[in-house]
Amino acid sequence: MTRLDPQPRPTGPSDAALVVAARAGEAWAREALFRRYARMVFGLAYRLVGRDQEIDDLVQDCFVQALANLGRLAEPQAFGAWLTAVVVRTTHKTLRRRALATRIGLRGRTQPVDVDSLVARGAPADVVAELRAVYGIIEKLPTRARVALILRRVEGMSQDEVAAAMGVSVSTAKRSIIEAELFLESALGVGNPRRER
Amino acid sequence: MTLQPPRRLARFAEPDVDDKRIDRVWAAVDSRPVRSWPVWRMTGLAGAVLAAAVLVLVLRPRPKASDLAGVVVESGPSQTVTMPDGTSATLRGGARLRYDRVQSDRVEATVERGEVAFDVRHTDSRVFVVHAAGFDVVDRGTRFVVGVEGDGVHVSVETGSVEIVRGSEPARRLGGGESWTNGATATTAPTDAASGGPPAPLASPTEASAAAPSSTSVETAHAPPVPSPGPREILQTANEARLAGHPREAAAAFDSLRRRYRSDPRAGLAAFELGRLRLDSLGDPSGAAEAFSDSIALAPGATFREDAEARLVEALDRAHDGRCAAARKGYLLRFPGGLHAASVAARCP
Repeated sequence: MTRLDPQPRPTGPSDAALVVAARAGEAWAREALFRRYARMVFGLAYRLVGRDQEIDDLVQDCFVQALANLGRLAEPQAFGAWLTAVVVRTTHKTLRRRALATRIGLRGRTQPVDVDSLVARGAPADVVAELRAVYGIIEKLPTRARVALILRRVEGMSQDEVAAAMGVSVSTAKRSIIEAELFLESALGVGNPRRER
Repeated sequence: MTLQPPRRLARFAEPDVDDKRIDRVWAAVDSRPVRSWPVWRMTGLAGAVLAAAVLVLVLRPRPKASDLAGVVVESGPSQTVTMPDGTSATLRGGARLRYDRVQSDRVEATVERGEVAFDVRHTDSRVFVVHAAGFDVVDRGTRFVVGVEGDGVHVSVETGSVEIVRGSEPARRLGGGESWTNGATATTAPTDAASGGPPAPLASPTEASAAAPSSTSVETAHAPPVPSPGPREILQTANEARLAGHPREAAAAFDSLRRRYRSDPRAGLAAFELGRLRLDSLGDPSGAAEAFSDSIALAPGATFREDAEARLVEALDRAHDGRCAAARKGYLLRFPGGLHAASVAARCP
């Protein structure tokens, strides 16, 4: 299952057919894959970074890497799940690089996420509260825990899906989620979070 | 009380993505080169290249780093001195150049008179300094010209940048397309490829006299015109540098493109990308504002116009520049329902 399924369901050639054509050098197939998944990649990158203004380059990098490495995709029909992993890992790398640049003084401190501009108007109050809590703590988290938290609590992925998307073992993903949820508990003023072990 | 079980909140946090934005990103993705070789073949090739490089490093005869030290080159109309790494110095009519020190970590040369065009293969581990009538011109990865006439010095940079230093005075940095003299500063940006091309072709070669010993490794040749990269190549270089996590190099390439090829349709995009790098990665909001303004001037009808105006407001705000309010007003007038209207309205209160 992929969290990056195109919505609405695509018409026309299947993902597998497009991947095969793109691998054969068909430019139209590359563009079709891009356009089929662009909005979903924008969405995932947006939620992982937490702001809109910095994601165009990131989306660009994700697609460049994905399209250049289609040869590594063992199951062409699983393009969506594979692209999810490319987006997550590319974003993870970018966030880690920024954190390092901030630590050594090459980059100014990142401003907190503006949750009001991030959350859709009309979202239920409990959703707003949870998103506010999640995005209120992410800048304080280690990058891996930050990414794991967004995938788990915002994208709603299972622990196995988080691990697959991040390219880490399930136990590493669990540890990162638990680490982040401890911060989240504190932000929400609750205790004893229900976690899948 | 406990945390809620995880649920999917993503649908409540979606970015505004319109077709224009998708078109713009696709244009950028599509302009990148595609590597479609299978992994095993790439890995094999990389291994072979690495092995060949190791062999070359181990087996090649190593030139003495000091082969050029002490060499004085004096030209008639023109002459080129090429170092083993490809760094070249082209002496124009009647110039005289002396290599004071040539080591793996530092090269120093003195232009005693006349005009010399340098094309330096920059490495971070080596400093390349040209002395000229009391001034030091420090290379930062560059093609540049140094001229000396009596006490007068002039420096012009074609690509890259140099720093000009004298004693304890603050260094002066010159970028591509800029020039300087010790009498007066004159900064100019070439307006087209013609003005940003390689150093002017040299006069017809005549006899050149070099005081270099015959055993030296110096190669001398009459200067051929050096082909200059076109806008497409520069854009590709910039994108590759950015993707590889080298924002400074990427910024230099974008800057070069917009300065050298101002009539090219890619110049506006290059200025816009330069602004974003300066603002997001290089901590230079003033420089970013200049680049965004230039982007708007170069491509007033581009799809990224709205983004450029919004980022200009952000850059001016972060630079505490008094022009921020006017830029904000301009954006809100032109794009009242724009994608960035809310964030722009909150700027420079």
